[in-house]
Amino acid sequence: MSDWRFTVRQLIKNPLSLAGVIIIAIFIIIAIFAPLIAPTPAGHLNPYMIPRDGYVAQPQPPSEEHILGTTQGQYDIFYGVIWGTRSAFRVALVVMAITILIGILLGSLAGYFGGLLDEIIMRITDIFLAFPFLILAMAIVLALGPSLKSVIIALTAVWWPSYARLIRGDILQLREEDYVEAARGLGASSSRVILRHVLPNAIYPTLIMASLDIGAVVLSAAGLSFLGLGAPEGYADWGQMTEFARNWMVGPPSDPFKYWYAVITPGVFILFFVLGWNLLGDAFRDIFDPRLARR
Amino acid sequence: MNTLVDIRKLKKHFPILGGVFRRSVGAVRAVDGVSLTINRGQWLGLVGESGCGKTTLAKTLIRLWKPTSGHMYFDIPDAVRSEIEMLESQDKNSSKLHSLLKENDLATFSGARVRSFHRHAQLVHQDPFTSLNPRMKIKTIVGEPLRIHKVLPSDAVKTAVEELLSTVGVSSGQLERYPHQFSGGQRQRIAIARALATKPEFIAFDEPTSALDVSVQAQILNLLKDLKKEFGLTYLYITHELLIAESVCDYIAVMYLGKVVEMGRPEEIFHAARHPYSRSLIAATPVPDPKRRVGRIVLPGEVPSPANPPPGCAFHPRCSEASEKCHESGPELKLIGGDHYVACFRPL
Amino acid sequence: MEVLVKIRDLTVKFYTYEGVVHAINDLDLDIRRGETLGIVGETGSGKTMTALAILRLVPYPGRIESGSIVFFDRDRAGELELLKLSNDRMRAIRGNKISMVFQEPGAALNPVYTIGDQISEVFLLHRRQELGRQAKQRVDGLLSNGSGPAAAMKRPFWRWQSRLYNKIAEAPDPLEPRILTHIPLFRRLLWRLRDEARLLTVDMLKDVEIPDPARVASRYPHELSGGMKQRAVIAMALSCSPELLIADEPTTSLDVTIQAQMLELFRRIKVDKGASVLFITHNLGVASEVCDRVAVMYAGRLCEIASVEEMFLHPLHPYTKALLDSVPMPGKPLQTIPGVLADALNPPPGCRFHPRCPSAMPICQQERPKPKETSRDHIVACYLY
Repeated sequence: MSDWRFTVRQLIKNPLSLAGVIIIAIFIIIAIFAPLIAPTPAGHLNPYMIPRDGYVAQPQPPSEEHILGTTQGQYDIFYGVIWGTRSAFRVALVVMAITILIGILLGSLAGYFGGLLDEIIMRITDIFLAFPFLILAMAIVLALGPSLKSVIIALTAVWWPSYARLIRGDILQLREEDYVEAARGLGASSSRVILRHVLPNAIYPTLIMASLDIGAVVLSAAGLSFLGLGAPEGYADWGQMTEFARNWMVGPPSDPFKYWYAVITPGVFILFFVLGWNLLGDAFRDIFDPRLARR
Repeated sequence: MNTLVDIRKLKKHFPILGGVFRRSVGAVRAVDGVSLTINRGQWLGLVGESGCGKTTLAKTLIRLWKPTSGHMYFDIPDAVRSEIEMLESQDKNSSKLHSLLKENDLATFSGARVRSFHRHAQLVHQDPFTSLNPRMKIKTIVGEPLRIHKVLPSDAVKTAVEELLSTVGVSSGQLERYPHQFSGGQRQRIAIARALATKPEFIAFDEPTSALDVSVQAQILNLLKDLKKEFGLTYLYITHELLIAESVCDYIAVMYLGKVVEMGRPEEIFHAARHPYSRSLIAATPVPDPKRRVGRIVLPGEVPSPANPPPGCAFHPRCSEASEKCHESGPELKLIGGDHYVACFRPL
Repeated sequence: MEVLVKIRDLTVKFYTYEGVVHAINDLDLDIRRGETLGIVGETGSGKTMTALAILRLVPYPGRIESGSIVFFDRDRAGELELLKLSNDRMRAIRGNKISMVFQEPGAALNPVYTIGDQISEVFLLHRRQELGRQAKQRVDGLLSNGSGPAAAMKRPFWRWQSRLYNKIAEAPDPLEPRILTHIPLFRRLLWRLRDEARLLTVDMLKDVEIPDPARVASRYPHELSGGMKQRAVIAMALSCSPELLIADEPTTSLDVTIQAQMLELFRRIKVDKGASVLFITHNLGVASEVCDRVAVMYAGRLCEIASVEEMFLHPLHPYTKALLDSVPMPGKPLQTIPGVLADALNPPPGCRFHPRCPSAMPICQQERPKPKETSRDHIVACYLY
């Protein structure tokens, strides 16, 4: 992107994209300053395990000690959602990074060289895409044993085919561009052509899809955790916290919304995280749309 | 040793795939048997309309594509070429012939040999708006050939790039800019600088001025003239603008549907063309002279598709002089005087 | 000669992210009835914008800032100020009285409809009443001549059709047929309109010298070659016998021999249809082949306008002379025009050409020269005259 100023200006101009930027910025700040915002109590070994205040099953409403209340098993909700931001970013960024890497590798090979290599890679992609993605992810997690690491592996395995396809498509088109042909005419080797000419131009649609997908990844991870197939009990992860809230979604008949704080809080964090990335992804798409380019 | 480029019976066919199993059901015969030579220091003009194969010929010549059949010799001594010819007429399967071909015939090269050949022969594309990578700074674009072929140590590249850009008339201090910040004419100059980087002997130009304004065209042509003289270059210049070809080239080849139909010096071609197609082409070219309007030969019909050329002489369906023979067999290029060649059974 | 379109003080500006682009500046131009007027210029001269301004098709972020374009409509016997017409009335003019042919023949044709359908669309849109009349005549013919049991069954439908077509023939968009087109089966009653349009379409294709017009009409654009597509587009443009045909570089993307055929066609159109043609091109040779008068534009301003002979034999404006000189002629060294094309965002003050002009005088950079008539019908905007 040659004109950063143009990008930033476009991002700020549109109120929706500005909202996206602000939301994500807030989340980034929360993730970075988590130890300051929700300090780990002394003696607590793993900061990613939510500290418990007792062993009573019933969630307790917000109080002075627990600003947002506690969830099942007396895990502090506030601590959970703050440190959960870190888990969310970790899952999202690791999954996306590996997915894009695999996608670039396989997509470039398939797209640039074509022929038999292309066919083989595409058939493998087809096989992965044939499974309903959540079922496949669940199966992988179960096979590896439920943990956040398995969730990351499972989601990566499920996500990479779409990216390989996307990048392959872009490369198929870019391969025919004049400047790529010119590069070959200069005597550039295939790897040079791909790395220096084709990929830098192909990466933008991928980045746009990635920013839109980050939200989906977190949502899927939360879904898996909600089903009990994700982070271990007590781990600071939004999805895991919704799993806790599963039993308390409807309170006693006299007060059905009694445990709202346990149910809604992690959900709200997930909502805004996904919303922020979606808005940002939309904004990037509009910026990189060649028809709107004012240059 | 005057001959720089020698093409013998070059063919480049693109297969058309069809059917369920994507078999080859036909071929686009873009270049269908072209033989010509280009001497050192010559400015050869290749003229023709769309579909005649001139672009394909140029791109195959500099080995962007591998020829389907035929021989291409670049900077090979006369003696070697004659030996190959002799061997071919005697015994097509001799091992000596094979090894000679492998060593000298550009059409057989592959991989690294092709890439190193690009040091000596370059192509300038038609459209300066798409031939430069939009996300690369022009210093990277022009310096790339130097880096690929490791011609200079990396610290010398920057100075070389500056020199190249000033040679082509792009003012200094613009190294950090991107292509879209330049006009069409300037971009074409940058493309030319890039082609000159490795000091090639031969440059092919694919209609380099057709995407540019008239006033800029003249500037680029003058630049090409100066560069040719300064660096002793040999040019293959593709154009459909006959006026340009007549004023700058010293030899012309006219192509139609994958074959050369006439070759000769500009005066002969443009004022005494012998092939009916050449004559129609020249007559059809509008000239800014309101007095010159009469005597037009408006050629009927359309240019046939190179996937389905007419039998015999490819031009015969539109030819006013066509006879039975023209329908049966295709004429070969024959010398009819000086260095004027025509491929026609009934030249005008 | 009568004037067909009178453009006065036209100014078109583009409000882009980088600044304001002065596409056209105070342009005065007359297009006369029955003539082929060429506009010659390079990139940024404003020639395409002029055409788009006449049809009020200037794309965003461009705006027609000021000026007037008066169209002397023969039928309605009046002056129409095109820039002040309502959108509806402007639409009635586009394709009908003034039509346009663009550079890329493929671009104007919708790839999912046949050629015949696309040309018929123009007829169905603008000549509905005539089609209705023809259709009514045919049905009436059937009513009076039909005999036998089959005819007896169809009679009530024929009577209904006759009534409908009569309504269409009298008013442009009557209620009953309009409702009927929205009801699936009853829409069939109006099929004769399509039929009549088809007949006119085939006639039109014949006029533009397309071989085997009936077959070509049922073809899709991608099945035709560039030259044929352009002819089809010209047929579409001519279908309503427009008084002005605007052609924006119609032959630039075609081969030389096909271009020659097209130019021949343009010459004939003028004679047969009596339409005026506004021919935009950057190729001086093409202009000299097909135009009666030529206007030269530079950086949004008119430099010179004269008859073809006058322009090429006695060019007056330095830019025109430089342009003619830079056309490569064998034996002559290539002349170039020093400098670069005027920057659209920051054009030079005064006369736009003065930085590159060999005869520039101090006054040239202060104030723009107004167009002046030097000899009969030869107008130049230059301080030399």
